[in-house]
Amino acid sequence: MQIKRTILFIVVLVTLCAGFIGINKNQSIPKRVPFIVPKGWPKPVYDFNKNPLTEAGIALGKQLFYDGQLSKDGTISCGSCHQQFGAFNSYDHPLSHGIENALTTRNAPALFNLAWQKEFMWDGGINHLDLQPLAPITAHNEMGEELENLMTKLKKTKQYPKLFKAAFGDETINTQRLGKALSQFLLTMVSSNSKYDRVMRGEDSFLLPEKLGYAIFKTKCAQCHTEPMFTDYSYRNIGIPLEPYLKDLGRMTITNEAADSLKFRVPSLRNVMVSFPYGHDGRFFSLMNVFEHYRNNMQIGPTTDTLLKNKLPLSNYEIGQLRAFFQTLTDSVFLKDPRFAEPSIGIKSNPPLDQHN
Amino acid sequence: MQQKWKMAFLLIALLGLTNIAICQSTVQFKMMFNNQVFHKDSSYQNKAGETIQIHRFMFYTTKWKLITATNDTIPLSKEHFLINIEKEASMILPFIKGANAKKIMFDIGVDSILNTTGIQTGILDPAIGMFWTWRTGYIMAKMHGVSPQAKTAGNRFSYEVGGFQSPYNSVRTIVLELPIPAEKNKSITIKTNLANWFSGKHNIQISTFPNCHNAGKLAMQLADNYASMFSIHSNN
Repeated sequence: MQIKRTILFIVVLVTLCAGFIGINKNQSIPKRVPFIVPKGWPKPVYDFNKNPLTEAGIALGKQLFYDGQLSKDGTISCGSCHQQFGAFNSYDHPLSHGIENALTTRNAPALFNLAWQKEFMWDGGINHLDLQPLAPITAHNEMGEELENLMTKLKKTKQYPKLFKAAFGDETINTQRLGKALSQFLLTMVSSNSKYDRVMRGEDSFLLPEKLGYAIFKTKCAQCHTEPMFTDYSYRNIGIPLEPYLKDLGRMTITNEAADSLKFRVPSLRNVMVSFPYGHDGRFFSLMNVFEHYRNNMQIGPTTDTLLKNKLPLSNYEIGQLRAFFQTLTDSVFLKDPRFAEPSIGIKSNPPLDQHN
Repeated sequence: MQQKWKMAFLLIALLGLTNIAICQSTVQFKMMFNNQVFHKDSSYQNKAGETIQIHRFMFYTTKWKLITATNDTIPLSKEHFLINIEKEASMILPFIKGANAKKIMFDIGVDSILNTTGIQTGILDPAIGMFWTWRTGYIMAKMHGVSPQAKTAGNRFSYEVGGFQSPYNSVRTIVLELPIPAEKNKSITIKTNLANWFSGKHNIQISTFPNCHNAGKLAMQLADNYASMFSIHSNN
């Protein structure tokens, strides 16, 4: 009798346990993905505790990044203006196109190393990476969509409720989850494998012009384009005159301080050779235009940066060496990384011809 | 006999006191335009004599507290609420009134920490439309309408007040004296005078300022103005 009871007890126990195992199997636990900080780089500013990277989260972010449904008429995705071969800038477009032939007012910046960036947009008006995509999604001259409508559209699809469940545990689709998923994908876009990086890691060495250029860079550029991010993330007026049609005052739009007039975020010089045109409104077609601006065309105004009060003298020789150094900042691994490529297109083996540099 | 009455009275008073401690009370907003009850899309005149019709009026409120006669603070709720003239239910806030209060306190706006920590959910979801996507920050209060004096397309005026950082922090704390003695079981009605947007502290004319869509001086003045629009309904 006792033995029978014991057996029954064990059978019931095992059945129960098996049941629990079954339940656990049905409950998808998103697989964590570690975020690796390149050696010698500062600590990221993004709070990964509030949005840990997972395989499913990154996949959902990538799906959203390349989905035209995020725009009002389905024609524009994030990837339309952020193209991988240009380090996720807009190829050869001073200003990019939005829905219904609209034109934007600023140059689409290259996207990489966003985990280290505290503020976004050329004027720094956005204070969190999760919030950043909401700006182009809702801007009437970019993707022109209303968030509420976008959520309704995504909920109606077959795939998205499943993808959100895989990433966040249930099928809820809201703005917060959209932002977090896009952030997860964007955060994985780390560019740290240029020749410069290999040299710094001791795996490669500079050619003579690159080495000379690096020395010139350190004396003339590095105060603002600080290593290893090649920007100090500050806002500065580099003597760009006010564009009479766009009338963009930059940082002042956000702070309302006259002292911030015509100040824009210092862009990173990583991948600079492939991310033309340059400047907040894309007014410089080539690096040569930029050098010419610094040494000749600057307009010194009351808010021009103190480091540039006498412009930035550059000889032809120096420009030549700087160009050689800037070539070493191109991260071809990043530009061809299949993890970031548009799913339906894949990696373009031949990026478009470099027309200007 | 007299003694008996006194005893009964005391007993009732005691019961009443215990009742206050547990009773469910509410705070209710009553929209006004000066001395008239406000109706959406009716025509009113502001202090500058401009004719206005208002069709959208919303504001966030949070950090509801009571101050007792002994100056103790009793938190009512840390939640954020969005008051919206188009949603009757949003104008009634359910609170448990814990004590015999002398004052009621609340903020108009959204706590700064929620402006700096990414995307929020629920009533603070940016999809609700009380959020600036081009520059981070909640729209603390919003008033849209038309006025022949607005020299804009469709004579529209549009006030969207925001800004959470010094020197343009548009959050305002409101303190209102409650009538003494505060009656039990009675909801508090807060009269909300929309006319104050134009003349509460600063005179703001639609003809000069038909739009406010950024943090800054005008947003601060509008916030000063609407901070003065609340008063306790005398029949409380």
